[in-house]
Amino acid sequence: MSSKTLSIAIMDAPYESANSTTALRIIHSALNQGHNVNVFAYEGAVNLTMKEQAPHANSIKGTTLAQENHPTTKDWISALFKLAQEKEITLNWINCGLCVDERGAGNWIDGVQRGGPADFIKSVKKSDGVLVIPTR
Amino acid sequence: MTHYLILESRDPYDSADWVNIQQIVIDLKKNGNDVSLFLLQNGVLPARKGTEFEKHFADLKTLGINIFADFFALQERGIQDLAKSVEKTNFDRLIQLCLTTNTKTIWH
Repeated sequence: MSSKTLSIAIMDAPYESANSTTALRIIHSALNQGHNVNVFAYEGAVNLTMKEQAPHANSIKGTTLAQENHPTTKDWISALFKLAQEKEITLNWINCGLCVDERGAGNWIDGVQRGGPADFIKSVKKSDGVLVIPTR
Repeated sequence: MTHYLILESRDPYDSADWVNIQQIVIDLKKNGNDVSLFLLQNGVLPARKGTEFEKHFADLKTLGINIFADFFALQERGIQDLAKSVEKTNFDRLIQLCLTTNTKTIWH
């Protein structure tokens, strides 16, 4: 199967909407099938890749950190970068610079780049498929 | 011919504009386009067997519109029995549809 390129724009902040999980599942599926993926994270979605994210225990349920096994979006996205590397394809993840500055969210996991909406337009022109997942 | 892939994340019980998107799906088909409807998140709720929307999905199928439902969303919601016109599938299929030549993908 020949490798194609998908461009996807996401806007939802982590832990607020099913859209985040859906977007990460879509990206995973595309990479897993050997396709390149360009992600443009806009508005609250720039927080998906923040390095400081930390899992937590749940005192209400009485579970420990290990028992809770709380997934963080930055770990999930790190795994997506690893998958792309293993498959020798490209995951290009761009965070909107202005959105980052507004939120003070500039400390990212490895692999993420700073850019703007123009980068998304450029990637759309070179892509075989495009998906925009807006906030509701 | 353009292929429209409509991703429906909303359900008719919660979103009043669900019906508008369904009308757009029908109009796109009647205007000579290929159309696929992919239900995900709460969008799978009306695809349960026995709901009042079963006939609607059957009508879409009769028009030549393929209707898919995300297995993960179905599993999360404990839905096992689907309307006959809706096919249970996964995101690998969604990606294949999205990357098909001349496809425009629209999220709702």
